[in-house]
Amino acid sequence: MTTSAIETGGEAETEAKTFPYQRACPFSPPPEYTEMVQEDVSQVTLTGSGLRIWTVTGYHTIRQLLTDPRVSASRKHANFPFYFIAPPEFRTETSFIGYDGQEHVNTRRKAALTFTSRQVRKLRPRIEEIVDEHIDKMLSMSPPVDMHRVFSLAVPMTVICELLGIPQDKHDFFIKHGTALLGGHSSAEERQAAIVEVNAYVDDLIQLKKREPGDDLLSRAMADYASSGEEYTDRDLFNMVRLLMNGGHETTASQISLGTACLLENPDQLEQLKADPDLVKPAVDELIRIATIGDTAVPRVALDDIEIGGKVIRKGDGILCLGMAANRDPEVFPEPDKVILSRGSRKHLGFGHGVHHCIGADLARLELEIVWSRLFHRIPTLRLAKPFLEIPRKEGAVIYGLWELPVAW
Amino acid sequence: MAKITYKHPNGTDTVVDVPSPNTVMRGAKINNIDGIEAQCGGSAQCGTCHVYVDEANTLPLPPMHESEDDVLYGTACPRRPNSRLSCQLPVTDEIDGLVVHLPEAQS
Repeated sequence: MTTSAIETGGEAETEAKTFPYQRACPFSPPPEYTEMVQEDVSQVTLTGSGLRIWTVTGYHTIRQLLTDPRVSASRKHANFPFYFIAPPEFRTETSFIGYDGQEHVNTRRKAALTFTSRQVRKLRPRIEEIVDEHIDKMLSMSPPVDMHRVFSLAVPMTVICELLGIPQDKHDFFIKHGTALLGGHSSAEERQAAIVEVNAYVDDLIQLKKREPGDDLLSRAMADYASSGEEYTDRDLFNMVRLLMNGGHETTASQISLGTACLLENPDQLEQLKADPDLVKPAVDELIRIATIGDTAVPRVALDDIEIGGKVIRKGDGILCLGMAANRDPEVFPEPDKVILSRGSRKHLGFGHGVHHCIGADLARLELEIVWSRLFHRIPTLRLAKPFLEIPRKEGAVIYGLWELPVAW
Repeated sequence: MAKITYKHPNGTDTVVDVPSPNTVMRGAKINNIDGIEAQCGGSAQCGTCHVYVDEANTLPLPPMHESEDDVLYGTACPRRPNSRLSCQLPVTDEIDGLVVHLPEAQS
């Protein structure tokens, strides 16, 4: 949408709506994106803050912008594009997702080694066990079962808790707080309360790990800080734990439920997957592309004037890089709305791009690969227990997803 | 600013001036040099910006962090003692004249 169109009121109806917009179907971009994609760089008004910010939709434009040193991920900028009323902690207690430059590199490194491809590959046998245990649990129940709660949330929660060194009895606690932090309907007070409660728990956990270090990310991060000689506080640790916890379960859980629903809604593709187990690797990336659950989760601020295609994003302006639009770029993904498992590749922007590329991307891929290999092998008659479009969705949430996934077999 | 030579497997060289702040990976990307994929965009995660630093190199390069070391075990072409991820090599005046060899494949 051009600025002149806004000023002349030519797009009054669209302009009355505030961003984020609703998807007509979980696997389609919001209808408003059609016009925004024509413009590549547009302006929208955000829900909550009422800020005018820029959206960028082109695949190549986003890749370029996310490696441009003139953009910042710091939440401290006044115009940082929050599309909900954010408590002050959302600006200051971010850990490395909201850091730039060397501070980002140094902090991310405290966690990075746990998530490299080689380390992640070693987790395969344990993740297979976790997935099978949760399929057993589902099968022990009488259908219909809410697969999102019993399986999709529980599997990644178990994995990330084991990596971080958090005991199993805290799963429900973190699921509840993750929903408050990332959900679309939480108030600023609810988000703030979730941070305070999680921090209090993680604070206790840090004291425990200081006394009794274990083979977990938190213990290793503390040892890394100690050996690097860098100054750090417990606050750095609990912000990192909260970031990895939120990034490590809500996202993968949403992708499991949406991807499973997508396969069930595309039976020809599901049959191909059942017939050819090797198809699961490309299928994972194609299903990540189709759902792009982090569509609104790649925010930035311009540190300088940035000109793109004749438009100038001014220094200090907020920017959202809309991965759902980029992942439908027909020049990169022909017939972009079609689900074609065999064409899946890593080039989509579902994990972002640039130095903030999802640290858990390989872990997520492995979890999803195991889930879709085991799930349809163990429960070949799995089906939705409710028409797909009647399942309530997390519109406006930081991470898009479904509130439930009723299934039967 | 540093002059960097990217040596291709077919024997040709591309020599470019890369301004700071950048990395050797970004130097290749902004000059459209083939042979560096950098799928993850520079977060030392994917191993597709693998280079072999010229064996005669005497320019000071930063020490390798543990996670770069780990990622280099998973590159498409075999790791050698002079393997680095080019996204982890910042461009400074001190590396003016750096020569890196591009591997046959990145993924």
